[in-house]
Amino acid sequence: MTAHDTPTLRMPGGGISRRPLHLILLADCSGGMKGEKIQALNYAIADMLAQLAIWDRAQEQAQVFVRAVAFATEAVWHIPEPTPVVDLRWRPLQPVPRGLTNMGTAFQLVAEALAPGRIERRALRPALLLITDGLATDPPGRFETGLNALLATPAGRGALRLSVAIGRDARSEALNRFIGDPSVPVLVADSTSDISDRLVVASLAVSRMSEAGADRAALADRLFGHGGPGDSVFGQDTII
Amino acid sequence: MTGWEVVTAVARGAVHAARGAVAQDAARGARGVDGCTVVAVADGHGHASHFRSDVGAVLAVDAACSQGLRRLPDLLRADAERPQRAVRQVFVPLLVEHWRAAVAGHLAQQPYERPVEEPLIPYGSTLLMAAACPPWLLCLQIGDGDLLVVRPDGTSFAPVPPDAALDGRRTTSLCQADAAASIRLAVVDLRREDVALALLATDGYGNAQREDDWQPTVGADLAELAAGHGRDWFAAQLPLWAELCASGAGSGDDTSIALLLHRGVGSWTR
Repeated sequence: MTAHDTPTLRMPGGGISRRPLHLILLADCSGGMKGEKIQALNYAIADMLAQLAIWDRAQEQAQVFVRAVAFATEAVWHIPEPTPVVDLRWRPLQPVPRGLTNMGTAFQLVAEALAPGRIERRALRPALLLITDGLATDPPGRFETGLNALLATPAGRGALRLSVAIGRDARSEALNRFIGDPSVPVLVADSTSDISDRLVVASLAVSRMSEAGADRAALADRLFGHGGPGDSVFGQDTII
Repeated sequence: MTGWEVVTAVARGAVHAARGAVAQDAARGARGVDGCTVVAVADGHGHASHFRSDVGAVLAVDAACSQGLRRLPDLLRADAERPQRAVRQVFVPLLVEHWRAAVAGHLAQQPYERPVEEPLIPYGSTLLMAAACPPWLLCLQIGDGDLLVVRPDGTSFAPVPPDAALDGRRTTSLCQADAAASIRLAVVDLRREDVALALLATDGYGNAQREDDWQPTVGADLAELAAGHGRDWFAAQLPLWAELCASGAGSGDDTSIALLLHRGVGSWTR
């Protein structure tokens, strides 16, 4: 076929783009995070986002959009709009003096963002990454209310939910309930120097397990160091 | 002269190409001697348990075209008052059984190398089918994907009812035990509905569209294009559309597109 024979493309519709992959960070900014912890966390998040940006440019099926919630006694959007990871410059989190670790309000905020109609129908299932250094301090019933609201949305229920605990004491039943699958472990950073490594694991889980055709059980085995979650968590494109 | 023309295209997804995997989509069109025209697309499931889904998809579109041409004209003539009931009660079970028999035939020639608990599961596939058997346009679907009927004025509608069970990760399938019950269908009366064309596409197409509600825009554009171009133009364009949607700039997924064009709408009849 000569160049003259090549048809000129005229495609119907409003154009095409890669499928969105929404990553929402839920970052603990309670009073206990002050000093070295928050510095290490900011460094680790910036590093993780840089790794995700490299992955974003290298693969051919998803465009990563990042949002972040900072929570202490209250929860506020730190990055309110879905921002392409390749365009994002991380603005450091600040700890809230004497702030508590109320996770329920953060879940509520994310639930609103993932409500039907607020996220593209063609989006890959979102990823939620909860990072905390302490036990939940929500007033009675608030943790459950927030988590239930999150899990009531199809996107929240179907999301890949991961958690990083800073310090062994932060590993709690509450984090397991957020994850919602006993085969997905809480990623524990024993020290501030471990935070970056744990976020790398989380970002690998977010990126590689979103890839079509990925052997998710094998990936989970490699990333989490055990049998890993099965199709109930990472399976896709199979029958009901 | 009026009638129906078919154009189809299949493109391997960029993600599949990067892994060296074959395309698991299929598309087929066929015209009968009695004015019935059938087109179908199918999307073989990507999960590892459906390791023969590329074959399952091909068998699905073949079953749709062969059984559609063979069965639908007489069936729709025989029960002209209630065509949808006839299709549901007679054609749908026939279609599923024909696909299962075709799978069994393939399996007899190429047995599994290791035991498989449910022999149909490896062949799992969706199926979207449209058959123009005037005065009826049958639209049928199991699993995800898009089926859009476009009027000459550019308005469009999805004839097949949605399935709330489809969540983007899991889909209904020809390989499930109750496949016939999961098939959704609609019969459009062409005496009452002015139809320019029908678009059938696997989810690689819809997932590539930038707009979330892309159907109205695509429908309007297709109606305009159909008014100005004939089948040959679409035959040259469709592979390009499929390639673009399947590329790294789109969904990266296998993409099948089929058009059922109503002759008498486009300029090629002038």
